[in-house]
Formats: sequence, C-alpha cells, structure tokens
Amino acid sequence: MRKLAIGLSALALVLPATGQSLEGVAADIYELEKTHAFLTWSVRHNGISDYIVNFTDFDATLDFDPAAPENAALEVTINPTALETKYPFAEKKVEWENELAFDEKFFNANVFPSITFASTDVTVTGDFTGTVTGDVTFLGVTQPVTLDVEYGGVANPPWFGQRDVIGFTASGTLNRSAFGLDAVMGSTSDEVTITFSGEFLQAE
Amino acid sequence: MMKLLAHSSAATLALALAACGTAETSEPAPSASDAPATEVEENVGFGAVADVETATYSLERTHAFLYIEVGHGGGISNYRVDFLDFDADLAFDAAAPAESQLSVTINPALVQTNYPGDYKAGHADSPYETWDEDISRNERWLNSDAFPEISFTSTDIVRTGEDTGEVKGDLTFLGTTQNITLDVSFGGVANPPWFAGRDVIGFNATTTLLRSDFGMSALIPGITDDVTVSFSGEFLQDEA
Repeated sequence: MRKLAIGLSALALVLPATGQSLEGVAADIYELEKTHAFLTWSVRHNGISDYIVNFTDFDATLDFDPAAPENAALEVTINPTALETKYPFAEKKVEWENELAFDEKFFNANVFPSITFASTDVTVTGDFTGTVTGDVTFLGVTQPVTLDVEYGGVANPPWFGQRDVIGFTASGTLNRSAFGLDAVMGSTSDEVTITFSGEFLQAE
Repeated sequence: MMKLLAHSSAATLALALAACGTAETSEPAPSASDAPATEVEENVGFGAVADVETATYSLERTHAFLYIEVGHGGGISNYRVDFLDFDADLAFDAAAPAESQLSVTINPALVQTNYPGDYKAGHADSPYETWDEDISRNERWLNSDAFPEISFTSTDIVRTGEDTGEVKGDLTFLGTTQNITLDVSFGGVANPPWFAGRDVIGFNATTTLLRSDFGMSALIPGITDDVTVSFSGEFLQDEA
C-alpha cells in the first residue's frame, strides 16, 4: 500500500486535469487492470428489489484506437465459479454461492467453466459514449448482447511509467432464458442487468 | 397482508391468492429464489404504496444490498465498496408515507472490495491482512476501530411521485453528523408464502455526498470527493 499511497498522492498533484479526454491516448492493446475492475449482474427479486451479485474473477483485452473507437475490439472471459453474494450468514453464504455456481439450474460451472464475450460491432454514439455489441457465450449458447459504454478518461499514474490507463463504465441487459437459464422465473426476473466499471492498462 | 382488491389484473390476483393460500411457513432458502412455481408472468412485483400494511418493518437481510462508489484515477472509473453488515428498521405508514420513519446502522468493519491476488505479497509493510481490512480500519478511510458504527436516522420525508420520495436524515459517520437526502423509489409489495401473510416491501435508494464533509479527504481528487451510495433491498413486516 505504501507504494500506492505515494503514487496516488503524486497522481493528485500531477493529474488534477485528468478528465474525459481521448487526447494523447495511445492506440494499442490494453489489458484489464484487475485491481480496479467491477462486474456485477442483477435480477429483479419478487419484482420489488434488485438482487446484485459480483463476479470476482474475470479478465478482458481491449484493442483501442482513440482515433477510431468504432474499430475497437473487446474480449472478456468470466469465471462463473467466482461469485460473491451478500448473503449475511457465513455458512449459508458458501452454500448459496456454490449452488449458484455449480447447480445445473443456475451457472452449471462444472459443465460450462467460463463465460465469454467477444465484440462484433462498435458504434460511437457521442463524444465519450458508444454501444458495443458482441457475442456472449454462456451455458453453451451464444447470443448477441449490446452494452452501452461510456469512456471515463485516461490517467497516467507514475507507477505504470508511460503506459496509459483508460477507464470505462458499461451496462446492458439480457434475458437469461435465451441461454436456457429459466429457473425460478416466478420470483426472479428473466431480465438480467450487467454492469461494469473499471480500468484498462496499456500492454507493455 | 396487503389488500387484494386493489388489483385488477387477473394474473396478479391469481398470484396473490396463490401466495395467500399456501400454508408453507418454512424459513426462506438462502436464495429465497426457490419460491414455489406459480402460474404467473415473471416480475411478480405489484401493489401500490396504499396496499402496504401500515406496520413496522425490519430489513430482510438476505435480500439487501448497500454499496458506495468513488471515482478512481481522477474519476475515470468507479471504485466500489460493498457493505456486508447493516440493518434497518422502517415504520411505514401506507396512508401517509411522509410520516414513515427509517433508521439504519452500518458496520464499517465488514466491507468488501474486489481485490484479486495476494494483498500481503504486494503490501509487506501494511499492518492489515487484506485490502478490505485496510479500507475498513485505516484512519484515513472508514476508521472503524475509532468509529465502529455508521448510522442514518430519517428526519423528514417528502413524497415526490406515486412511487418515489426523498428521505432526508442525519448521517453520522466518522463522528460527524450531516443531514443528507436519499432519493427513494418504492418497488412494490410481495407476500412470499414462507412469511405467512407478512408483507415484504422493496425499495431502491441512492444519494451522493461529499466525503470531505465528514472529514475524509485523503487522496482527493485522485479519488473523488463525491461518493455515490446505492441501496436495493426488501423490508419484512415485523411479526405481530
């Protein structure tokens, strides 16, 4: 933490103007900066509240050219066994997360050990916004999903040398039944909301 | 039990009756998503504010989510911290929602980020075992050893729409109390059979506050002063 603390203090000094700019961003391959990346899914429970679950093990590679964002290519892999619910009782929490991960009616991870996304089409919709359509492969089924994406800006923390760090926030929805996951429809929505916020680090 | 006659949808009524007619009273499964199959469309939430039982409610902690987000890297991404241990009491007045009262307590000693990898390997000098513990206990963050509770007590509620409102209240954090405003939406009422007629009501709430108002000003602006607080969850009518 010492190094990070010094670095962040430096960041505060040298990057007060960091903002939502694409200027100077390197056209390059970027890898997910996994210590600053959050991916969740949520469903509506009983139609009255959001049930929110974090993925804790996922990775992504982004080919990004600030001069032509529409040519960007994004690939994501998610480990469906790394799920974090907020179930408040420790023993049942483990049981419940294992059930979600491995039960055939849920993520069935013994049979389908990864979830993937591969972009197929990127459309720029504003200065810093766009849609990324891609193929989600989940439970052996591949279906197109469109994410609404916002570019958050670039940072150059000193501990990464000259490598750029770029941030994005994304969200999208899919119907889980399209992938064959149709358990507990009575109490839990078919529609699943996916949200992401995180940073990508320019590859060395 | 909510008032059934308020609903005209046949499907909705069928569900409500099915729920009411089921005698099961077992504890909810961990998911509580193991609800019995019902002959209804998905998204079973229904019911207006006026249909809710006026009563005291407690947070249904297996269906409750509370987290904060700050901008990281000068604001290029959102850094998220989940609270794992919190509770809330709600005195809900269906006829006069503005007369309702909400109190919340949060344990800052139990938080969760998404820190992959071996924290100690990269932070040999840290007095903490995990990054989550650092967030929780470090004096410049939640400082939970010195301030073991965060609390919110509503002071004033304004209904802004059929299912929306503002809940103003006193937030006590790091020894400082500030009046903040939560934007709240009512999600509906459900009657899962295992709760035997007790209403379950859902809400989403969000607010943005300045952490510097509570004396937490480390690393601004690399980490934003703005903190977004989000909640979604359910409240269960207390047993009579």
